[in-house]
Amino acid sequence: MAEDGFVRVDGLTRHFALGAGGLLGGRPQIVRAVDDVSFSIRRGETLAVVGESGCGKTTVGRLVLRLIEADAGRIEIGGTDIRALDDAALRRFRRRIQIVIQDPFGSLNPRMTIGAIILEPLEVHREGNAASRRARLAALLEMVGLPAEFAARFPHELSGGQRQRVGIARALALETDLLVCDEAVSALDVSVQAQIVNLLQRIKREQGLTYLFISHDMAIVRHMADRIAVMYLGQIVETGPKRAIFDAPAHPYTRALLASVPRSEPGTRPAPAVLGDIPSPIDPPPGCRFHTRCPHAGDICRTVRPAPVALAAAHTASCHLLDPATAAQLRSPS
Amino acid sequence: MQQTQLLTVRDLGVRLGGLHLVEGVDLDLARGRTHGLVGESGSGKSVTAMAIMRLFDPRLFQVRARRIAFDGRELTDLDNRQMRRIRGAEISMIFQEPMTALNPVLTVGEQIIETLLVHQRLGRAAARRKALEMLEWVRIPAAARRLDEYPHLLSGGMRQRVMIAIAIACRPKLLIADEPTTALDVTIQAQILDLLHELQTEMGMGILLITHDLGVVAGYADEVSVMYAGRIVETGGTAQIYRTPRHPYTEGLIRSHPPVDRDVDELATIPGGVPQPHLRPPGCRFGPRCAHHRAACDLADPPLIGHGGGQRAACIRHADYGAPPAPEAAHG
Ligand SMILES: Nc1ncnc2c1ncn2[C@@H]1O[C@H](COP(=O)(O)OP(=O)(O)OP(=O)(O)O)[C@@H](O)[C@H]1O
Ligand SMILES: Nc1ncnc2c1ncn2[C@@H]1O[C@H](COP(=O)(O)OP(=O)(O)O)[C@@H](O)[C@H]1O
Ligand SMILES: [Mg+2]
Ligand SMILES: [Mg+2]
Repeated sequence: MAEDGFVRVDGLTRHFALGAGGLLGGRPQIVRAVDDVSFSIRRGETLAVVGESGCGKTTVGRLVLRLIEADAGRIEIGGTDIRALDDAALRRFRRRIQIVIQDPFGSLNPRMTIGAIILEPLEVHREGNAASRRARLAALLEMVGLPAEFAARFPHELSGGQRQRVGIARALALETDLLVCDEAVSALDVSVQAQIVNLLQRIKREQGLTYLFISHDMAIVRHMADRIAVMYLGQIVETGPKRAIFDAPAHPYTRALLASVPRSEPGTRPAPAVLGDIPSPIDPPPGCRFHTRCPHAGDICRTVRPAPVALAAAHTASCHLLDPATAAQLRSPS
Repeated sequence: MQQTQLLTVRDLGVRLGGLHLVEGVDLDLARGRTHGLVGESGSGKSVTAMAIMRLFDPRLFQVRARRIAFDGRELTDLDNRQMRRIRGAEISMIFQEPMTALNPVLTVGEQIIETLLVHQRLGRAAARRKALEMLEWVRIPAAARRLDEYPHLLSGGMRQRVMIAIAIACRPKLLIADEPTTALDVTIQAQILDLLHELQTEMGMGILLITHDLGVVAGYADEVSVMYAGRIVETGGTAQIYRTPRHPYTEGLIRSHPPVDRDVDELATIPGGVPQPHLRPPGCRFGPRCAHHRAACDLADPPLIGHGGGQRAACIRHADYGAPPAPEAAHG
């Protein structure tokens, strides 16, 4: 599946134990945050990971950066097996992969100037001298569209959009190859969101970056992505080129997700496409995890996990309905 | 027209010390209809709603209005006791974050019963029966069991359903819904909006729907008012405003939102950001961000100018056209 990927992820799994049972006894509860996830990203491509809250998007991003450790699976970036790196090698490797998160304010040190914040990665990696850093800072501020005098300001003096620009400048301070954007524009007002979306697009073009773009917003994803992976309860249920996902969504969850997004066409209301709540990732439903909300679910969906079915070039979905071997038993009148 | 009018607000302003949080707000809502109030963060949507509900502490906030007419009564004439009787019964409100709005130490049932007992002559047993009925109305599965649960056990979507149950328990004529689905996932949002719409059809209540999501407004609002930096800059029928926005801010908002059903090359942007209340510029507040800005824009805050069909926009660009400009093709 991941033949020529710059990023190749295979069987990635991470569970979290909640409480250890303790005095009250009982078995610890296991959150299956990411469960056997595989994908690849070509160099210069944007893969969007989309899904509703709690489906494991952030955890995937943090695993790829090795900000948290995986339980199982393989992560390869530019041919390097990330999980096999020792501390020193990981530090060196981190120069090439960076993350932009939703709330840069929470993560920016309020007592550092914007200039110091942007240059911190150079500091950490002992890169350059005073003069080269000054030049780099000026170039970065210009790249993200901030006036040079912002270098001396502090985070609280900046608007949300400006802080997000700082977060991006900082992520680009070293020679980055892969940028993980985790809800990087989700907290912004629409008019500002559009500015940052365009900025991310332009920087990607100019610097030849590769993006792992994590978002819950289908409209933003449509605008940003080359390929899309749709996640539900810790698993990828459908993956394919943007065209395929939007023009021929195959998995019932992808269809429901798309149908639920409000259209900006007056008078058109999204019909509620699925019933009920998203189940807890603690003890997720057996078989197909979506079966509790799926209008097509049959017996097999409640017991057997569906394997990915190839639908078209690089377009796969994991659904019994799409698998010729199992579809017949599901096509009962509903 | 006059008889179907439910809410008429004229020249509503809220001040905090010397700061104008909102100014000159006019709103009209007919019975059984939905008016969308849309704008970016800090534009004054919640402040407007809180002022109508009279939820501000008068020792801190100066709320002034020429008129707030609701269902044939002038709310500005009512004393606090009379207002309390209306609030929660004839006008009720749901909030963005249902967890902070619900009382964590009371069960779901107790919270609905409390609202019912304040406003209606009912025995406890009858109120409990009614509370159960309300939970069924908002389609909470296993309602009888939920009645005795505490809010923290519920998902975000279920909490919002409980909030709606409390809000409609006394069959209000007006529901103010302040970002009722912003904290929810999109499949749950579709369920909640659908529920609100159904309840509105059954009960005939008017809804003031506050949101920053233009898609939500497009689907559910009959009329829309766009707020910017404390003022309404454009108002009118939803279809007309989406087709031919007359205020550059409205146009910018519509175009900067990527559509989910087609591709666009590059998003239109509005430079800069929404100014804080103490940094609002003189004249037209949108001036510094506006592509059509000229010197005259800085002289005075432009009034709303009519464009026919009930559409009005606060932009002087149209004043010197004399007649409203010819409808342009919708943005592409
Ligand atoms: N209790 C308060 N004390 C001081 N200022 C306030 C208060 N409530 C609101 N404001 C200010 O009034 C302005 C309007 O705020 P409001 O909450 O109405 O915005 P909004 O349009 O509802 O935004 P959002 O989309 O973020 O909810 C903002 O500048 C806000 O900071
Ligand atoms: N450190 C952690 N400890 C326990 N549970 C966690 C931790 N991180 C994430 N989770 C859980 O894993 C699931 C997936 O979370 P996350 O990756 O943040 O989802 P998303 O980003 O898609 O909203 C959620 O149920 C979340 O509560
Ligand atoms: Mg997340
Ligand atoms: Mg608000």
